[in-house]
This record gives sequence, C-alpha cells and structure tokens, in this order.
Amino acid sequence: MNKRKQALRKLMSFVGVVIVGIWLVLAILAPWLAPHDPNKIDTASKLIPPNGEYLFGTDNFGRDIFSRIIYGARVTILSGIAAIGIASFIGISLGAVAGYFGGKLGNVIMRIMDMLLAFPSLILAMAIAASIGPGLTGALIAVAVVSVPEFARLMYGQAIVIKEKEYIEASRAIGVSHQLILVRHVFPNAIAPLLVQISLSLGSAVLTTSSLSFIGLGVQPPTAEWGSMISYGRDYIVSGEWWMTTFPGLAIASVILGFISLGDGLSDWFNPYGQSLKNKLKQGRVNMKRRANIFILLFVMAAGLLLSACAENANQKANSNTKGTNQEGKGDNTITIAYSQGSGQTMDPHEAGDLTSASYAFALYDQLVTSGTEEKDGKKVGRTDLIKPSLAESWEISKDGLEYTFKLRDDVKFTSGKPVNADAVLYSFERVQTKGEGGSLYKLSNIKSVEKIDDKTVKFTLSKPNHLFLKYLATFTFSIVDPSVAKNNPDDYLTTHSAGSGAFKLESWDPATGAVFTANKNYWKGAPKADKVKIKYVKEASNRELFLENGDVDVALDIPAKDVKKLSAKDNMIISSQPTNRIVYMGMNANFKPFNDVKVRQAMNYVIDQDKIINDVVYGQGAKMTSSISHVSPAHTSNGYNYKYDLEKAKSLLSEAGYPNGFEFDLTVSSATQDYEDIAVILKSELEKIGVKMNIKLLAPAQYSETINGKKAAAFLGKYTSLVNDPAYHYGFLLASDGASNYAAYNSKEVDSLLAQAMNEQDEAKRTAIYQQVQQKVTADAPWAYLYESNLIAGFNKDVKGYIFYPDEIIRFVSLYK
Amino acid sequence: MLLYILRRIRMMIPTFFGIAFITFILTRILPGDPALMIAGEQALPEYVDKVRAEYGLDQPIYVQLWEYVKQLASGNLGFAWHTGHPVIEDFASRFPATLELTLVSIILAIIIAIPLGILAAAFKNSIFDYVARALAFFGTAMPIFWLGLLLIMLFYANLNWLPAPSGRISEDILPPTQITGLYIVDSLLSGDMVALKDSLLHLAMPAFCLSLGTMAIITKMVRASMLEVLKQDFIRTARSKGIREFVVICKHGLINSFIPTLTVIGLQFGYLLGGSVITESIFVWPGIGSYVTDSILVSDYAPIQAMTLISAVLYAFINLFVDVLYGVLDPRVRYE
Repeated sequence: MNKRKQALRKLMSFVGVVIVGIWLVLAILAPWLAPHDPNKIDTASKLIPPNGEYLFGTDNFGRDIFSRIIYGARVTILSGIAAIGIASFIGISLGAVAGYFGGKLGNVIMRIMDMLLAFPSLILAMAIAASIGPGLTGALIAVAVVSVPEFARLMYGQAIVIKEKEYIEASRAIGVSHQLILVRHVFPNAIAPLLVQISLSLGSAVLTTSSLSFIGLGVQPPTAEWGSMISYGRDYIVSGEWWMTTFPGLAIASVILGFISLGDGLSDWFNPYGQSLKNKLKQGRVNMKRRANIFILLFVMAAGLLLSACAENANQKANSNTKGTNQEGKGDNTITIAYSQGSGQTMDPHEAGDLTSASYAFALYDQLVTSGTEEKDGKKVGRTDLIKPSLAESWEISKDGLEYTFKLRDDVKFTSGKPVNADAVLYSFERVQTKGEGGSLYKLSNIKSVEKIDDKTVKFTLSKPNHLFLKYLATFTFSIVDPSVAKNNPDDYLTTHSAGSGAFKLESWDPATGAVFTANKNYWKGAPKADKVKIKYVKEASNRELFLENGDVDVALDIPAKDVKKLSAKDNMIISSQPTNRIVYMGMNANFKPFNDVKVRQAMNYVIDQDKIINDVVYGQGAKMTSSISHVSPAHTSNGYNYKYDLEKAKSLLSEAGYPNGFEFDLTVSSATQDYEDIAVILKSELEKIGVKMNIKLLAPAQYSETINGKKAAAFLGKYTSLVNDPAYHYGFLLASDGASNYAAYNSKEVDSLLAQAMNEQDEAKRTAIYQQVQQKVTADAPWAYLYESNLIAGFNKDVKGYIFYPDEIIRFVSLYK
Repeated sequence: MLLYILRRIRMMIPTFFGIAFITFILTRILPGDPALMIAGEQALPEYVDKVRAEYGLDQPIYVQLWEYVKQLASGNLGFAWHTGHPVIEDFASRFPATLELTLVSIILAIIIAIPLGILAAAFKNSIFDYVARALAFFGTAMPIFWLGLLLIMLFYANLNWLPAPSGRISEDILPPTQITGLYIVDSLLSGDMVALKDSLLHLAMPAFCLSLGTMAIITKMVRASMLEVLKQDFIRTARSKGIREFVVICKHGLINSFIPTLTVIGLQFGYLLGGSVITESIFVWPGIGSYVTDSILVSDYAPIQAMTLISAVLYAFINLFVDVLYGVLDPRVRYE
C-alpha cells in the first residue's frame, strides 16, 4: 500500500516537473516556437475555429490563440515567479528575524503579518493593483504583498524551533555572528517546507494574476495574458466562439496543476516519513497502470467541460423559447429592463449625472418643456433638438431674448395630490443650484432670476441671451420636484424617494439588484400602459443577451454590436440600433510633444481607417465621424473633412514635422467600454506601420477621469454625448479654450471668438453658418483624430411595444408596454 | 475559558485599528478623484469643487483620518455615493446574500469532502481515492472565472435546468419574509416552499463554483489526517477488539482527525467571504463582493473601508470560535 502511494506521489511530482518544465520552455522560447505573431491583427481571418494552421483558432482580431497562449505563458508564469520571488525573500527574511530574535520586534512583525492575513486577499490585491495603476507591475506587487505573510509565518515557525537546537547554541558559543547563523544554519535547515510553500504559492500567484486581469486590473492590452484572454472571450462564449476562452482556461488549470504536483512531490521528497532515499528510488518502478488512473480521470473531466462548451451551439435554439412563454401568462403588464451601467447613483433629478439615474428622473418627474418626437420610417423617434410644451403649456420670449414667461398647465398634480404651481417651479430652481451637475447646468443656462407672476405664471430672466435656454429646460436636471415633500424631509430624502408628477412612482430601489417603478394611474398625460417597470442591473453583456433570449428580461440595453446580426435573425426579438450624438475620438494634447505640431495631429487623422473601425469593432453599428460634432446634432457639416486612410500621407506629414522615424506616446483609455480597448489595439497596429510606437494605458473609470480632467494625458481616447443636443453646449464644454471637458487643451482664439459670436446671434441660419465655420477650423487644427460615432443598441422581446429612441442615450421607459 | 475568550478579544482590538488604518491609507492612494465621479461628466469645475468640499475630500489627509475615526466610533460606516445609499444600508441588503452563498458553499464542501476524504482514506487506491485526489487537484487548479462561464453555458443556456444567473430569486417569486436575510432559512421558517426551491436553484451554480476550491482542500485534509490517525495504535486496538470497521473509522478515526480539518474550515470561511468577488460578478449575485469591486473601480472609499474592516472582524471571530471548538472536540485541550 505504502509503496504504491509513494510511487504515485513520485510520479505526480514528476508530472509536475514536466508540466512546469514544458511551460517554462514555451515561455522562454516563445519567439521561436510561436507559429504566428501574437499581436498581429488580420481581420480577414478573424474568429476561425481551431484548424491545422491555427491550432487553437483565432480571436476577433484574427490573432492566433495558440501563439498568444505561448506568449501568455511568459507574462503569467514569469510574473508569478517574480512576484513569489520577491514575496518569499521578504517573507522569509521577516519571519527569520522575528523568530530568531523574538522579543518586541518579532512581536510587531508577526502582528503586522497577522493583520495582512486577516484582509480578504483578493480584495487587498485589487486595492493594491488599483492603487499602483493597472499594468503588470501593479499586479505583480499586489500578488507579492498578499503572499508575504504566508512565508513569514512559515519561516517564523521554523526559526523558533531551530534556534533552540544545540548546534545553534554551539555556533553562538564560538562567537559566530547572528547574521551568519541566520544565513548558514537557520535558513538551510528550514528550506524544505519553504520550497514546498514556494511551489504552492506559485500556483496561487498564477491564479491571482489572472483573476486581476480578468477584473481588468492586470496587464495592458494588447499583451497576451491568460486571465485577460478569458475575460476578453467571455462575450464570445454565447455566440459560439468557445475556443477563445477554453484554451487559456486549460492553460491556467494545467500550470496550477503542475505547480501543485511539484509542491506535493517536493514535500514527499523532503519528508519521506523516515524512509531512506534508496527505498524511495526503488519504489519508483512499481505498477504503471495505477499511476495513470488519476490523470485519465482528470483528462475525462476536462474533456467533459470542453465538450459542454462546444455543444452549446447545437442546443441553444431548442431551448431559447421555453421560458418566454411561461412568463407571458402572468397577466400583469410588467416590463423588465436589463441595464448595463449600474443601478443608478441617485433618484434625485438635480443630482443625477449618470445615464441610469437620468432615466429614472425622466420617469419620475416632468419638466417645463420636453423633447419632441418625429415619425421616421414609420417609427417614432425622439428629437432632443425639438422643444415641445410639457408642464408649461405656452411661453413667450421677449425681443431681447432675456425674458421667458411660462404659463403652467392647470391640471397637473404631483403624486402627493398637491398642484404643480409657480411655487414648485421656484423651489425646484432654487434647489438645483446647490447640486453638482445641476448647479453647472443652472449656471450655463444663464438664469439670473426666477419670479412668480401668479400661481400659474413664471418669469425667467437671463443674464445673457441664450438661444438654447429651452433645450436646457428640457433636460432631466430641471425637473420640477414637489416642495411639500422635499421641504419637509432632510435634503437627501430625494436621493432615495420620488416626489414628482411623472408617469411613474418609485416602488423600491435596491442598488444591489435594481429598481421597481409603478405606474402613476393619474398621470396627466394619460396613465402609462405598463403597470410596472423593473430595472435590473446586469453588468455582463453576455448575460444580458442570454436573459433576453430566454425571456428573463423584456428589454436589454447595450447589446454588443457583434451580435446584432445574429440576434436580429431570431424571431422572438427585435434589435434597435440607432445613431446617437455620441462621438468617439482620440484627443491629442497640444501641451505635449510632438502633438504641439499641427502636422503630427493631422497625420494621426490619416492613420485612422474609420471604415475598418466601424466594420471590425462595432460591426457596422456606427457612423463615420466627419466633424467634431455628431451628424445628428444641429449645424453639423462634413465640409473641411478631407482626411482619409492614407499611410503615405501620414508619413510625409510626420517627416515635414521632423519625425521621419516616428515617435512614442501613451494613449490613455478607460476600461469601462470594451470597444474602446479594441479601437486602441487596432490604432496601435496601424501606427506601427508608420513607425510610431503607441503604448495603451487602460485605466479604471475613476483614474481615467482624473487623468484626462487634469489634462495629464498626452493622448486619450475620449467619448462625449452632449446632454443638450446643440453645438453651443457641445463646443462650450469640449473645445472652447476654457471648456470644462477640453481635455485636449485646445486653444484657438478664432474658435473662441466664433463661439462667443454665435452665442449672441439670435438668427438661426446665421448661427448655423458660424458653427459650420467652427467645425471646419477644428477639423483643420485637428486637436482630435476622429474615430466614429456610435449607435445605441438595445434588444427587445417582440411583444414589447412603444419604444421611442432618443439620441442622448437616455432611455425613456414611460412609453413601453406589452 | 471565558477569560481566554475575553483576552483574545482584547488582543484583536489593536489589529482592527491597524486594519482600519491600512485600508484608509490604501483607499486614499487609490488614483482617481471621487469628486469628479460624483459630480458627473458634464459638471463645471466650480461645482466639482463644491462636491469635493461637501464630502470633505478637500481636507488634509490627517483631518480625513480623524473624521473617519470619529465616524467609526459612532458606528457610522459612511455613505456610498455610487449607490446613493449609506454603506450600512447597502450592507444590510447585500451581506446576507454573501453570507448565504458562503455558508452554502462551506456546507456543500463539507458534505461532499468529508465523506469522500474518509472513503479515500479507508479504501486507499480504490476508485474513491482516485476521485478524491482528482477532485483535490481539479478544485485547486480550476480558475473560478472560467468554471463559472462554463457552468452558465451548460446549465442555463443549453440545458435550461437552472434559472437565469441573476440575483437570488426569480423575478416572479416574492422573497420570503425577512427574518435573518438568508433566503433559505427564512423560507424554511415561514414555510414558503416555492421560495425555498427557487432560491436553492439560484444558489446551485455560484455555490458549487465557490465551494470547489474549499472542497478540494478539505478532502485533502481529511484524507491525510485520517490516514495518519488510522496508523495509530488505538485504531489497531479497536479493530482487534472486534469493533466493526465502520465504527472504527467513523467514531474513533474521524473524531481524532477532525481538529486539523476544523482549522482549515475556519480559515476557508474567511477566505470565501472575501473570495466571492469573482463568483458574485459572474453570477450577478447581489452581495458585497461585487459591491467592493465596483467601489474600487470608481474610487468610492467608504464601502472599501467598511468591507475590509467587517471581514477582518469576522475572520478573527471565526478563528476564535474554531479555537474554542477544539476544546469541545478534544477535552485534553486547555485554555490558559
């Protein structure tokens, strides 16, 4: 019995050595062994299943997965070794000192180690990695820090035993220094368990590194790393491209397996339960059949998982409808919507700054005026640039454009039963000034004073004429809240409660899961057709898609562009993909070299192949960006946009600017949107062709916004959806020299004066002409390289009716019903 | 023993302060300006400053630390701006979810791992032994995030055996009356079998995913310590007295090999509470793991601080509980 066990264990450690050895060889010899360049983008051969040429298939950029896994071994394993190397050195030193010397110092050291052990390790690692900033270094240090206490504890335990041994006493008696005793005697005698621990820790280091990458705190794209490959491929499991995740998954599992077997083997080697070495070696030659069993079992389990992943395509259709029909019988008219960007930060319309909270505000509250709609191809489409009456049934504007007098409707009541009157309007405009985003809009709208003329008449006086004043009033920010509720409660009451006159009332809101709204049956525009709207926060795009397919939700927002075609073909759902006024661009800060040279900035515009981006990244669900403002905004013109994909032209521009051999720069990208990461990867490979080296700096949202806000990024990938669909607002934020979102630090006297001129121009045609001049000037100055305009894609169960799309990306769920 | 417990608790206090301090420092060096995130993308700088002042973020760091300590002393865990709720309320709704997931994972791990470990030790080199060892390897080597994705594909998308991995209970089923916040316990207490079945089905995938690693470790531990114990003289004595093999193993063997297993279970519990981060985000589980991940990404300090502190406190108390259990299992253990 014992012989067999020993033999098996020996075999396991042998297998461990072999697995680890193979991976190490692959890692070191990657450039010679990999059949393809791991980062070479070839969109013609994207998403090819495993075949003779691409052993493990290709990803969505046509990169060879087999080669990426081999290169990934370098990153994953070598960084694991580095991290554990650092951790074991520090941990062992601390443990040895604490154990050998003991006393106060030892106590303090071990207390700190215990403290670190009490932290949830992955959360500690995440916090450290996020503090240092995403990237391999951050992940490496994080892994090292969380592994230190294990080594310290182990060494401490060894040291307190060893220091009592006679030979230590003897050494000390003959006057050997403490350092020498530690290095010569204590450490060598403790090495056995330490080596075992190192081997085991290597396994968990690989797991932690890849977990960090999976969350988005690991390596920077396009570096191949296993965890990030799985994270990247997860959206593709649903669509059937199983190979993108399966092979990196197997790679991680096999490496960890290797390290654990090695650790187990080492532990037997050092601790053979009193058996002689000779005995151990002799036992190496027993029954071969038994040894293999465990590996066969493992193999079968892995193969089973693989098969389950492969089989999914065949089975998917048969099951997709069953659940949907179950739920239809329920009778009540509830619409469930899967949101992608959180459950909202607030119910307070004056505080709202994110899309989710904005959509709540539109459901709970009314504004004085509202956005219009138009019929387009038989569908109702929202027009944020058309203003229609809402709480105010009519208004008059004085000749000088400084006074707006609104007549309020008679029949509107808040859900509390109180009438919507001039006092409520006055109160709301007073309240909004005290809030962050609300206060900003208040200031931008130039309101000087708000007066009550009578109970149903309100007069606004502006400090300066503002031709988009009415558009401001139509935003969710200027929602009219019920003073009888808001005044009688603490100021933050509205953060979690509703007090409006809107189509819905808030029933419950649990940020962990979502919110529930019930219809306001007495709504003055007519009760909504849905009785309830449930908002569900579903972060993963693949999950939103699955839920929609299976009928678990009625509406799913932000469907990945790559799946539009496939999902549109299904007969139980409708996919809506509409152009928004969101623009996506690469901003270049003129305060950084070489972007101070207009020729360099123009050259960047020649490197960008917008058609390729639209095809390969957003699968046709977007439009070309030919101006600094979206084509769905008023006054847009493509005039002056003469750039096209032309690498020769880009090269010659760079030469003229004095950079014939290219240059190197960092592109700051937010990790919030996968598409932007993809664009960065494509840009990088295009720039390489003209000798420019671009490093992608993928940052978490908070860090990203801090970096670009401080104008600390030489170049960044920016996106913008102007809340008010008007060039005045758009340019005021983005490209006026003092614009709050002018992250590229664009500074043009000409543009500034044109913008000021337009602001004072009351005639719309003349204003449009000025804004078109601005666009041409900006395009020529090229503070941005234009990338594309993105669509808003949402999926609907075929029974859901009444969807009206608005280009500001905020969903109005008021009109939805089944 | 009471004295021992009190002394242990007294020793914990400086640790908690240390942890609160480290977390505080760690969150403040997190890059990213929360004021910018709170105010929104389209806010003017002067209003961003206003927000910064409102949240006290413009104060020097030692003032912020002092405010934090004062806040903690009054039992206030702060406000999570990214959810619009006080942290304590978020925890009240999310913590039971994580606790339930963790408890079920631990229980699942125990009921599979302990019998398997015993069988593996009792019938060495039998099929049980191979399954046990395969599980031990497989469980430690399988990355949770990959396993989770595969499970969803198989059991939800293909076979449709399990409900949508979203939340703890289906949309059309009311959660049981809130008593403990643990849906299984609450639905049992209130006799709500529909809710019980549904919440068990929702738990199946995430709990299995989370428990696999623990299952592996416990199996390994039970098997190893059983093998060790079965070699002892008293086992031979028991056998020679003619006691049935079943009794020898389950009574004499198991009890004696339980202490190391218990230590591991205690440690694993702490690990799972923090380790649910990835499981929760994959299975859209509304617990504290996903809450803290989001908080880190948007630099929301208060929830991160609260989470580390609370899990450290739990970790310490669970270990204390395990230490006390030793004495119950083994009367020879004395507390000084």
